[in-house]
Amino acid sequence: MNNKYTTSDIADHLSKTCNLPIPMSDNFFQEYLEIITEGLLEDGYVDIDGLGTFRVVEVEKQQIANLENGTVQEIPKHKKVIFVAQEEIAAAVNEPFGMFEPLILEDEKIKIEPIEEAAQLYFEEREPDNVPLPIDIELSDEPIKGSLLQPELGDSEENLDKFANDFISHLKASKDEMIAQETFKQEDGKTMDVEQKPQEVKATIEDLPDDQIQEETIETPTEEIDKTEDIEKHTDTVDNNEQSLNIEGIVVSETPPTKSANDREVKSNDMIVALIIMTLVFVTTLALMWFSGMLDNLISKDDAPQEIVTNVDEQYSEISLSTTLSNSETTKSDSVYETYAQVNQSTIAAEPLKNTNTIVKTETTPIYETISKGVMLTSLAKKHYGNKFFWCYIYEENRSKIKNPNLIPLGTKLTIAPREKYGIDPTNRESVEKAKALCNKLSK
Amino acid sequence: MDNKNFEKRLAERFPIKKSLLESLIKETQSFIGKRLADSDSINIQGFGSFEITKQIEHIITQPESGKRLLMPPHLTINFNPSRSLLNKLKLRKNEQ
Repeated sequence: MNNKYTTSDIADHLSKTCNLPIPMSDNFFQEYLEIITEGLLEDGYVDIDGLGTFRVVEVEKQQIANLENGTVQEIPKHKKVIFVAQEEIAAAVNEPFGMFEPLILEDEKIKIEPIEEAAQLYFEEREPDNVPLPIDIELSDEPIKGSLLQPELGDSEENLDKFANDFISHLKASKDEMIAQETFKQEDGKTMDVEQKPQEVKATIEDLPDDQIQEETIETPTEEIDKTEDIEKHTDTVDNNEQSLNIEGIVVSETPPTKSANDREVKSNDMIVALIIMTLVFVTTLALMWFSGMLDNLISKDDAPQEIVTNVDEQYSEISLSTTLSNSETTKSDSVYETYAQVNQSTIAAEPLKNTNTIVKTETTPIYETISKGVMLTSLAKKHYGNKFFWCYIYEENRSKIKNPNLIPLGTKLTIAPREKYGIDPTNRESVEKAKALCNKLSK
Repeated sequence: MDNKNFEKRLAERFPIKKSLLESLIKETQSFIGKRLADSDSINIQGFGSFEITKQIEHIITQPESGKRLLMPPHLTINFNPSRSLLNKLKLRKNEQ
């Protein structure tokens, strides 16, 4: 890069690549250059394949100004040698900028149209009969000089300037009118726009012909009447001087009904949802009751007393063995129905009875005890029945084996009857009292 | 002088094998081409010098269509003939 090579470098390269001595390669290169020079002198050009073309070009006489001295120098006609490299070498040299290509510049054509032509085009496109002009102008049959409808074109520069100013102001006014109409349409219902609308109507009425003015004057009162009717509907007191305030009241009063309707819809939806939730809860509770068996008890109310009565009858029959004959059937049934009432009040209370029945059934198997030294009937009674006064029941059960309860031979095998057989209940005072009475009777 | 006459005259002046002569011509041209492609300059005494010059981007106008073209920058090979070569050309002109 930016190295300078000379003839000797070329000769060295040739000698290395072609295995020639340096003087011989140097001689070859000198002959090479000499033939090119001869070709330029003879033919004026030398075309060498793989390198390029050398060409002699004549340059015409020129005059050059010397900037330092200010003098003009004349360069006579002369020749110069140019070299045009082959495309391959030129492309290799221009490789860093090879991606760029010439770009055609398309200049914009700007045509300045005169103002008069633009104005004529504008008014030709516009239909002045249908669209009212917002600018106050005198409507008359005679053509108006210098007006927007028929501008005097080409009279003088002052008229043109005046016409241009009027034209710009007309465009601004029409733009403002369009913006105001859009805001009125978008924000209809707001007090500001309601108050602005009559003013705009008046402004347009002034610009309209008489026929249209009458129509507008007829329409505007009806609108005001409608507004006042709305005011009377929603407000009790209507004052013509305070129309703007009442109109504000309309805006405020019109919104709540929509809100209340929405609230009703929301409430109805909430009620439906609540009903659905309640039904779901009821169904789930029923299902739970069904699976827990509680529902069966509730459904079979008629069957429940019989079962319980039978159970209690069995219990009571066992108790009745140890009780006196004074307990009649009426008391039995009363106690049974009292227990049934308790069962109805709380279903849980029925389960202990069932459990007791099962316990009784499991304890029906008798227990056997053998008399050893120090073992007495009272000790056995306390051991198995919880109270020593229940020894009489052991004596009653084993009366065949025991002749004298105070003297029992060792090794005697006694049967301990289940509690339910004699209605033994150590916690029940009556049962204990019965046992005491029986023991006293036996001891006598 | 075209390439055919150039090679013929070179073969007369430098009598070696044709294949060797062709290889010498080819190596000479490839050496100059490679060195110029690497933006190197070659100075040949009594003949001239090859240099690489950068031509900046510029706008040209096509006279036929009137279109203006933005030409990108590009590198060109510039050959500056030596004074002796120019003198020879000058003398040749005077002789004619």
